[in-house]
Amino acid sequence: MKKIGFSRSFVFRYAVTLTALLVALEMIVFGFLYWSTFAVYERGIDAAIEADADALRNQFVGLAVTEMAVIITRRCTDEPGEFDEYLLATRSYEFIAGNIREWPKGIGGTSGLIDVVLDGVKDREPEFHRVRAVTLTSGEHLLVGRNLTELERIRGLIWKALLRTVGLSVLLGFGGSYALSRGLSARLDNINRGSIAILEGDTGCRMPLSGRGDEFDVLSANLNDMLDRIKTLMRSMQEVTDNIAHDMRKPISRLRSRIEVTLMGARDADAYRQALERTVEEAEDIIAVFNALLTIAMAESGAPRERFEEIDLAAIARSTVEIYGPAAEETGLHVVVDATEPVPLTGDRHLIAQALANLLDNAIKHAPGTGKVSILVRDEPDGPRLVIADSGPGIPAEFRDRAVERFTRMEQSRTTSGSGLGLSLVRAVARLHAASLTLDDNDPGLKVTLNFPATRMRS
Amino acid sequence: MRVLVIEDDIETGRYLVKGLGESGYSVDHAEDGPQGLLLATSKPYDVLIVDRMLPGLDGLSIIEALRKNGNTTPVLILSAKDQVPDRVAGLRAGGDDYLVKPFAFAELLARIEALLRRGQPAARQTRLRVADLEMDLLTRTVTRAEKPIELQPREFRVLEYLMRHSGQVVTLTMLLENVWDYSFDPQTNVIDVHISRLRQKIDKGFDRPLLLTVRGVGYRLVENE
Repeated sequence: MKKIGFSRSFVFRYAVTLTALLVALEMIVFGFLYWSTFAVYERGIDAAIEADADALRNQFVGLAVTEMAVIITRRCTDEPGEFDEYLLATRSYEFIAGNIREWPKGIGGTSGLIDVVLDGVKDREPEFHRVRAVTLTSGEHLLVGRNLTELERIRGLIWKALLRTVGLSVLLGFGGSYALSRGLSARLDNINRGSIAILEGDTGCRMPLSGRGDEFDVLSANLNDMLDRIKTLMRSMQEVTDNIAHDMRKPISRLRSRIEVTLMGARDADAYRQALERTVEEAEDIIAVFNALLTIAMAESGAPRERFEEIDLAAIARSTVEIYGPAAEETGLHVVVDATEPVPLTGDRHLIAQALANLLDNAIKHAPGTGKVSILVRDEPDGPRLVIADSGPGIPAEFRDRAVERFTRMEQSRTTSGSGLGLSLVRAVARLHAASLTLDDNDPGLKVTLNFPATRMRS
Repeated sequence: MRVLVIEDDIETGRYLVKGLGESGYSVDHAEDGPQGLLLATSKPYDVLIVDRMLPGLDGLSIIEALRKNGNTTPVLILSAKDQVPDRVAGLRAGGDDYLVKPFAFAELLARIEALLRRGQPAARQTRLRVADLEMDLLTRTVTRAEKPIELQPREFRVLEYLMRHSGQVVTLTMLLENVWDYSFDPQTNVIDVHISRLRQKIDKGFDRPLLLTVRGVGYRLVENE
């Protein structure tokens, strides 16, 4: 099976994105932690150094060097803050008092905060300090600072921890998402394999279901339903072509026979004329059947849906009954219509009229002399409903499913005119409008119900 | 009466030319769109028969071009497409009537006659008259030889259409389309029954029948002398 390269693979992008998100999250967390603790602490130190230096400078105004030295020494010996450091120096930067031995090189006058490496007292190793130099009004120099070594050590620890964590998450992230995506790929591969099998001709093949009921199972189930539907459609197409071949062959053969027989007979212009006229009539019948088939196919294709408009089902029922009324009454049928309130519907006016006409036509054809046909059109809460019931022979329950197939005729009606397409059209039109078509026993007779879906909100 | 047939299918074209010729029309035939448009704009015709699918320039475009030029010659559109929206498109493009192939030649003839009659002014009548049959469109009443005749609304509409086309053949589909605005094929002889009931009312008991049946084609109300 075709393997997709990394750059195109959704699964790869998925893995990379997840990992990147994870890493970003960690960095955010660390950053926040660092900022809200460490950085605050560091700024505290800076503020302390500044405040301390300023306070001392002010304090030393007007004092003698010896007094200053005493204060400084006291600062260093009496409960010094563990990190506090001071150096009082002469104008030439020589040691006077404090716990920093030597004035750091390169710093002079009054400065801002500077980080230096110094040798501290008490045999301390060279360490990090943050210092501030101040030149006193009397000319001496004062260095105030804090030992940052601990801080730096902690900073280093945090940084190492971050790096380790990021490294670990990249590994875990990639590893984890790779594993996940393998699962994903496997499920997708199943579906792809199934599709290829079907394309290569194994039409009975269906997508496997894992039984977990997850998204892939839903997808597979839907695909399987689609495949079943396609199979049904293909079968019905096969049936149609079989039926057409079978049912159309007869009238067309009849046509040909008549023409042949006429040609074999005497060269009589009248006989020819008569034969030709009958031929035209039969040809018209055949054309009518084909037109009906075309209309059914068009309704089944769903194409008319694009051109649906607002129609009134009751009005269509009334006018169709008006057209068929006299013909029905001629056969002794009593036609009753109950469709006074407008029943709005979105659909194809001509197809609905044709369907209704077919139903009326059937009722007229099959009903006995003094029967009754009633048509009811009502706007029910769950949608518009059309019911047409006759008192004819009806259709036995076991035949009702087949009745809506093309070209089906009941045995007793084989001799009546018509092509057996009437109910097929009604079913196709019902499906097109998402309506349900039910055939019931009218006891006696046939009751056909079309329930259309509700199209508007009820107030 | 001069007819222009714009049809690219040779058999159909030949058939139309012959049939129309024998029915008393003088027929010209164009076999593609551009030639058809050229003829339609350079020679006068009383009615045009235009096939929808043509090489070079399709039928609807020809009609639109003619209408834009101010040409109001009635046009009958022929087409193999039998979907209602196509009918609407054809009529919207400026066509006057629409017939689907395959069609009965008699149907074509009947519709052409109706189109030719349409060219003449008859629109604002309030009364229609055929022989001694009179229809008042305002009061919706009908009398024959002064005797009032009771008609149901649908019978009235059918008679009105027949009277407006008196002397012409009116086919079943023309009645269905114009009286009820439907375009399906009724399977039983539904229209026949309407006509026979109408006939009972307006012809029975009077001196001569006005409503005639034209076998295999349709019906005709006699010419108004």
